[in-house]
Amino acid sequence: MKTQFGVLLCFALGATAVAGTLLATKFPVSEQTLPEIGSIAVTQSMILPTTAQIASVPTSQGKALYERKCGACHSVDKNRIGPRHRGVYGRRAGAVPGFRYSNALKKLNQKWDTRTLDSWLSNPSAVAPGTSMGFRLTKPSERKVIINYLKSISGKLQK
Amino acid sequence: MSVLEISKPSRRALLGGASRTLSAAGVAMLIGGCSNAAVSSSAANTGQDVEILNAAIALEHEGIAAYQIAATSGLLQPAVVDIGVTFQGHHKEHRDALIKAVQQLGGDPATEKSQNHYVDALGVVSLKNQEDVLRLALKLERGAANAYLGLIPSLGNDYHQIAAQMAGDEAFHAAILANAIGEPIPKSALMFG
Repeated sequence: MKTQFGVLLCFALGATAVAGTLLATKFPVSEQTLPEIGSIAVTQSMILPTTAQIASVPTSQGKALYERKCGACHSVDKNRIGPRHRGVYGRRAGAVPGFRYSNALKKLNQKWDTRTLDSWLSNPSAVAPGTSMGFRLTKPSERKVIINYLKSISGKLQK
Repeated sequence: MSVLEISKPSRRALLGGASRTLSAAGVAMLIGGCSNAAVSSSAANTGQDVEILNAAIALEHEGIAAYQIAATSGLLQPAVVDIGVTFQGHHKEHRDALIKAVQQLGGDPATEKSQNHYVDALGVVSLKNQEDVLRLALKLERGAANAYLGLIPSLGNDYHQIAAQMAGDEAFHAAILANAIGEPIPKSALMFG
């Protein structure tokens, strides 16, 4: 009798431990219910790369930087505040069908390549005075990463 | 709801100079003299400001539409809808302040596009649940904070503060949305701009 009780007790304790472990297990983000707005979750899981690290990251990861810096106005495949960017590398300036360009861009007689994109992103109004794009990407390393990304969505990336 | 006040462009700004003293061309203008270069420069600067401010208005039109689409999507919990409507109100204040600035400069403010345009441009059909909506909103707000900070050097001095203030509002929105999604707080500072 005591032996049977002991076995049952051990089983119950073991089951409890397993259940507790399962409840304490972190689920992948996609399976988590959203926390109530106002609560704060701080983890060690995400550390933003430094600028130097960004400059050396693979082009595919340039998408994240593109979305942070350019995504307010641009998309890859849709005209928004700015024209869509798929195929931009190698394209003539002011040439996306269906987008209403400023007069400054319509008159800008150049193709987008590494040099012209770098100048443009550094100071658009110096390249095309009167442009509606006022945003300047001042860090050379970030311009490099984004230009590489623009190349990748234009089928122009060299291996 | 109060409208953000923007002071009228100062004479210093209209003359295109950042210094506290008037240039020789500026003095000539004041006493009725003729300085084609100064007039041309100030007109060009004003025109540039109008173009950039109109792009910002277009950004705000899109943000307002995005929150409207989100609020009526049926995908959001009521408390989240309330926050979205509050953020939309902030964007309407931004829009109104920017429109006033463009009008003061003698320009025509950018007009909003159709709802269908924004639905297509923002890829709304791909949104399936509340988290999708929040992630889209976060992407737009983060982008907007960076956009306002990034365009400050291109704007006339009179608009630097309002652009920085708007960047602050967008960063606040982004922080709330990131928290709602469960994103960790970034370890590094200088996370915008």
